[in-house]
Amino acid sequence: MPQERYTWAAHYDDGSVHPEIDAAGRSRGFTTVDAGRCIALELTPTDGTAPRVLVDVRPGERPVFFRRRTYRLELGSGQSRHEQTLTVAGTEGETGSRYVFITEDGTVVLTSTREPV
Amino acid sequence: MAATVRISYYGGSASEPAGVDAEGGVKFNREDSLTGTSAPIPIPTTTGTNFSWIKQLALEVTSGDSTTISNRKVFLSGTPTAGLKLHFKGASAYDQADADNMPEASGSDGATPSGYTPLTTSPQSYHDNAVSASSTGRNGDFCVLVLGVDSTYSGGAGSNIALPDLKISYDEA
Repeated sequence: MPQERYTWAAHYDDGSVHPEIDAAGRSRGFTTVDAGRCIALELTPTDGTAPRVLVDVRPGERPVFFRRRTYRLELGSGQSRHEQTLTVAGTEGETGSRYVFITEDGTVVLTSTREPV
Repeated sequence: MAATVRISYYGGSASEPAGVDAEGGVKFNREDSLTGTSAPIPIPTTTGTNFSWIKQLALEVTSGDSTTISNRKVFLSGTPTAGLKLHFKGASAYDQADADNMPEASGSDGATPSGYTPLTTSPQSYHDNAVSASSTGRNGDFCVLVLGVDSTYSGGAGSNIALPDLKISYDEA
């Protein structure tokens, strides 16, 4: 699998930051984020060249982050490969949802659904 | 940041076995094997659809991480040759492939067996629930596949009949 394109960091209302990679270099799952305290979600490119992404988390919303991975299996020949990973950040709340989908080539899609075409 | 995941095949055992690498290919046949060619699916000589024995695939974590996996979907890279159709269903429990759980033949061409959904080029869910990827082993339900062959199939017999690629997607957080 290729290197992740972005890592996330949750910004809390007390000014602290909860990053995906902790001080010891270990990764955390997004379920460790305290959604009730999160006011912003920041995506930092791992290659240092892509733009950073900042998602504001408004009152009543909860932050969302996931990587959508697709594997492709050739049923006949048996070749298998990782096809793509989409990096997705956004918010969900009673007034609606919004997501940023980022493809491996850097294309950004803004959407209100987790399942864009 | 990511668990190491593969698509594994589960079969050849009365109870749930360890997954094996399905990335060597899958042949749809009428035997409890991943790639066996000794029991082919008969092509109907009159209107109707014959089905393969079930093939059970699942995501398997081979190296865990502190993430969770959810929203598992399956789809195809293209449309199969006329007369061939792949179908799927999610299943929480392993069921050894045999003649008893092979879908019953239909008297119609292009039939979909009861409880199954035709695979298309659009992702369709086979198991949505979030499951921790911290431990190695099967992650989520099985994706149970069967191949239907109907009387309109004109490609002739063979053990290397081309099918579209199978795609499985999931969300990891």
